[in-house]
Amino acid sequence: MTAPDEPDTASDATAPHLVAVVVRRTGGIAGVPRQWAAHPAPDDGRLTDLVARCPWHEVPPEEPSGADRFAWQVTVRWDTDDERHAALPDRAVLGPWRDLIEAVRNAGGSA
Amino acid sequence: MSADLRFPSAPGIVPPYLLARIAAVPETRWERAAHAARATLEVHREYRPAPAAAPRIRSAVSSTPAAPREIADAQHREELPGVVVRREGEPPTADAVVDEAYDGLGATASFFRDVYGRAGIDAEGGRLLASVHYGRAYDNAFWNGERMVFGDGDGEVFRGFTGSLSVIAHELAHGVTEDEGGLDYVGQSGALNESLSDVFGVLTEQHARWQTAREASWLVGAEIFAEQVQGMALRSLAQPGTAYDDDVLGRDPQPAHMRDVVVTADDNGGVHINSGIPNKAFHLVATALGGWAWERAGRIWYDTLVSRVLPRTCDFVTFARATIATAAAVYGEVSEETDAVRSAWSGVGVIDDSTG
Repeated sequence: MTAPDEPDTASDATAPHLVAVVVRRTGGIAGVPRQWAAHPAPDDGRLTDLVARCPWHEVPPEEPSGADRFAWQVTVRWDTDDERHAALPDRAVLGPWRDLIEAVRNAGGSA
Repeated sequence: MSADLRFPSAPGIVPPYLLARIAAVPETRWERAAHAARATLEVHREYRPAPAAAPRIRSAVSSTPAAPREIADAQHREELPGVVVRREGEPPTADAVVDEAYDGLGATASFFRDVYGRAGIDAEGGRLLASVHYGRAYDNAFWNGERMVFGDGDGEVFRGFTGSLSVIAHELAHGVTEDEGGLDYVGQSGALNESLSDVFGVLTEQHARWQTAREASWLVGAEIFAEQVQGMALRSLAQPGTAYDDDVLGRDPQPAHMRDVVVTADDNGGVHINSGIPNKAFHLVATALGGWAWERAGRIWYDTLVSRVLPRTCDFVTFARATIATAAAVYGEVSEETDAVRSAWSGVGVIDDSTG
């Protein structure tokens, strides 16, 4: 992971700007991948806040059992070319992750 | 994309293993399938299980209790189980999705009981738990380790998932595989886990429709695509890679031979993709032997699964050799069944003809 240190305030002129959030969903009984992307405007801090709230440093729990669940990948890019990436089992998509993914899907862009 | 996206609830909401032993329960509504299966058993080729094979196969058909069903309505939330709306023996509800799930689980339970003598997922008659109307426009059906869960689909790509018996049986079969020791849901072992669900999914449907290997469609989920989707089904065991070719879904990526195996980080290492290879192997066995595919081909696959010889990390070659060993133990080293199994795995490039 090569992300900048805690880019948590959109208003900070010195902070890197978020340029893209890409959500990729694979698996499910169909096994068909789907992908969505959001490209926030420089003055739009909403996604930056959602990104900052996600627990990037916590390893998602193992899937103890089950099958045909979705698997999720979230990739975030800043204007410094830094990136962050998280791979999440379906069960881990809760709280801030869920908010972020929902926001990206609602942004409507397919990547 | 829909604004109604919802995500799964936290683990731990569902009490751990709820499956309980039960007494005999009323006969299921699937009289025709049960009848058909008993007829099959009467004409079944002599079956000589090896001591190591099928240790958990229970008593005769007539005395094996059906596994009681319990269908819950998740009421478009992503919290499980939801509200129980139909239990075993209760009359149909006003909700077609609830009744589809109930009937589909009944057909699947009848299939496993009447063909393989297995009482439900745990082979002990424990309850078959399902939840329907999971989430909003939820494009999936899954096994969560305790119950089968069905979304209604978004209406644009997928209709509801309960309209397909092969999908319902696919999910229940995941429970059977897990109960029999499990196959890690990643890479080749995951693809075998998927393939077993596809195999028992289509066999359940063939059994309910009373179709021979030649007559069957060999499709998984032929009923779940919305009208505008260019595709026949989710997967084809007869011709992996040909089930759909659509603007939104893309093209069916399944290989039918080891030379085309797909290396990917998606989908737990392509568990729904490379399952095409063992799927095709099963189809080759079933069509080589002809007749009811659940009898000899299905018996060999089922006995291999329940013999507990498969490691959780089982790869294709290990599984292939195990099915050959099962066929040899049940039907003889020199038999058309063992030949068919060996030829099938060689045909999809998993084993070398000379090393099988």
